[in-house]
Amino acid sequence: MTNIYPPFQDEVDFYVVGYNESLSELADYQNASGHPGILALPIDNMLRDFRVTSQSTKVAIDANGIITYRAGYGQGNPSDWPDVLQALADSAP
Amino acid sequence: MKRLLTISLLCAAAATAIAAFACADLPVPSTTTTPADSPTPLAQTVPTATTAPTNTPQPTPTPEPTTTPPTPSPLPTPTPSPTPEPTPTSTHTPSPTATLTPTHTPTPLPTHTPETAPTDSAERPSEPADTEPTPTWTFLATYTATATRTPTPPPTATPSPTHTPLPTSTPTPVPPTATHTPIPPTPTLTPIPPSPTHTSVPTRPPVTAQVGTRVGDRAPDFTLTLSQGQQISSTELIAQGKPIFILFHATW
Repeated sequence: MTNIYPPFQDEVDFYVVGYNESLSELADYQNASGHPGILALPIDNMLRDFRVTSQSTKVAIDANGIITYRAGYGQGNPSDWPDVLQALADSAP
Repeated sequence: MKRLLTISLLCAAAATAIAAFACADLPVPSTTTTPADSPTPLAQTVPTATTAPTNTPQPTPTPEPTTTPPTPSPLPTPTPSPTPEPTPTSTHTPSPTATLTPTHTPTPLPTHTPETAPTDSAERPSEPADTEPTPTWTFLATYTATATRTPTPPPTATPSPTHTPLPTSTPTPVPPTATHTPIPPTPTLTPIPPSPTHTSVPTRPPVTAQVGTRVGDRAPDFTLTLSQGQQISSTELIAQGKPIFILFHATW
């Protein structure tokens, strides 16, 4: 993702959501790994609403609020991510 | 000579009897129906007439007529009736009812000759005057007096002359106007071709999907807390038209 996202960073927002860490812990991780994206924490029942049961779950939501891509841990192929990000960029007005 | 006298007397008596019989159609049925009280009724008709302004002395309802027969009667009845009962009838001639109503003729009253009265009057000298039916006679007299009034005709309902039927309007046929000409279709209405500049708008699919977690569903609403403490919601991001890529990450 560190190599794929930079071409779409102006068109697609990339959020890294930790579900059992604090913002400081997330910041330390981000600084150490150089992972792109906006660090955030979920509020209320977001993990339950999205049925997140495993780590490294990825969800793509286009500009209309429709889920266009979903992959859990060990699922999906990083070669598909450029197409996913391109589809998101195309959905933007 | 005696025979002549007797014959003449008989003739006179017969004449008087005939005269009395001729006048016997007295229109007072009350006295005829009760001949037993004959002497008293006639005497008591006068007291009932006391309301009239006559100067005749008022006889009290006492049985005077029966006890005072000596008054001379205008009708010299040679009948063998021992009591001079007709005398009250003679006093009754100035009947007050006659004065009340000029139409009333008191002639029937003198004709009241009770032939059977002598025995009753002798037997009952103190007959009370309450049994006298003459008040009905006076009532009849007043009734006749009132009956002589000319009845006023009932007012006839005259129809209101103001009611006049409205004239019926005769619709005049309106001639069709020849100025109505069909409007020719304007040839300037041509379909506008879609502008090539708005290509992104038609490609956006309508949002009709239900909320879910699978691909193709509408993402549930969520809110995130950013590293600087600010919050942002999914509705705000969709309103801005920004697509989102979310990575649920764990550091462990």
